Amino acid sequence: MVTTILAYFLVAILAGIIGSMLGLGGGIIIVPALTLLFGVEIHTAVAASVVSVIATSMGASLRYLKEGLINTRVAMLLQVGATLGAVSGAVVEGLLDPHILYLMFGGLMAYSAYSMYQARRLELPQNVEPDAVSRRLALQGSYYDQALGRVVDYQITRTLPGLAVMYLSGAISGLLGIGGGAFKVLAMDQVMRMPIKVSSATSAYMIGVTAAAGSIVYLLRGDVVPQIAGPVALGVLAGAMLGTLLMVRMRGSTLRKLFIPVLLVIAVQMLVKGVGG
Amino acid sequence: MAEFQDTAAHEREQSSPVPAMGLLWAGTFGSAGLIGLGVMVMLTAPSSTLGPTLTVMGLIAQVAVPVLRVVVDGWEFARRGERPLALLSLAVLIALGLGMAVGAAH
Repeated sequence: MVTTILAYFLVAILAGIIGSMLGLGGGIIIVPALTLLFGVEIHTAVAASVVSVIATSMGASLRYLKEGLINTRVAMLLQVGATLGAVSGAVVEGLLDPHILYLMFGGLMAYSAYSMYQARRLELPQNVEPDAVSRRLALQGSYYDQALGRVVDYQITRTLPGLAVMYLSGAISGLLGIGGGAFKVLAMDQVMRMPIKVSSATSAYMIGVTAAAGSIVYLLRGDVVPQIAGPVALGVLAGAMLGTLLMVRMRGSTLRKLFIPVLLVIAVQMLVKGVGG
Repeated sequence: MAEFQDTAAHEREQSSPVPAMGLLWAGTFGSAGLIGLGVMVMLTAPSSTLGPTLTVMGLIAQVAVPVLRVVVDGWEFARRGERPLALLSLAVLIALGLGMAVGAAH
């Protein structure tokens, strides 16, 4: 019992580190680890993973808010799209063939990994012209970049297309259960052209809100096994706090390079499910 | 007028990030404390129901934190007279409620 709980805790620390640095929920690590290494039933593993997303978000938000890396204004706007998307995903579940969705979005993730690879040396987006919505809501921001040793001012563009991608990300994570955090980062980084560190930190802040609805449903249904979800949540929280320490000292280009293999793993997971079921 | 607008925008930008910081600290460590206590009890007295109960209570407390954070952020936006962002916060809360209802119905 002690060894198993300690093992859950250690795996969760790793998930928390990666999740908080990249703005992901950590399900990419927790679900395969729990099912493949510990033989936990998939349903229980997913429930523990969904609940632990909130721990990642809380652990990451503490430092990122302090560092000014989270753009709460953008988060609030995009959260509307993501949450409504998740509701739509749940409503249309069963009407769409998940295999096709897995293939489509697996392909999109693979393409995003390629785009990220092409921009791997990009430290900060250049020549970003704010659009009307961004100007109206004053979405621009600034933060002190420890790696660059200076204050970075940034603008935001293509806000409405970003909101549309966020709606899609919510629907996809609602339908498929994976990729929500990654799509959020991609929407902010590649569509709205926000700095990658702000995109990851803001995504880490947002995933907690998106996961809240799912978590309460899992908790009420009794799908959450305390002996598993407890140590996982604690490990993820500790890992998330460690991960933020690393991320704030990291260059944006390094973060991009870390993101590429993670996107590829998600793409492969989706494509495999799309092909094989 | 233009100068005033610039100053207002600057103040808004400077004061935007951390309205919910205290809540976040209290919620994070309060819920983690409950979960930690539950795990400790599960380890020392595996047959007791107290450990799992405390853990689930901690997890529920944890779920409440992001929702309360949206409420506090929305309140803060409303207090500053930023109506569009305050309305967006309200829309997030409604969408979250819908999400929970739809999820529970499934």
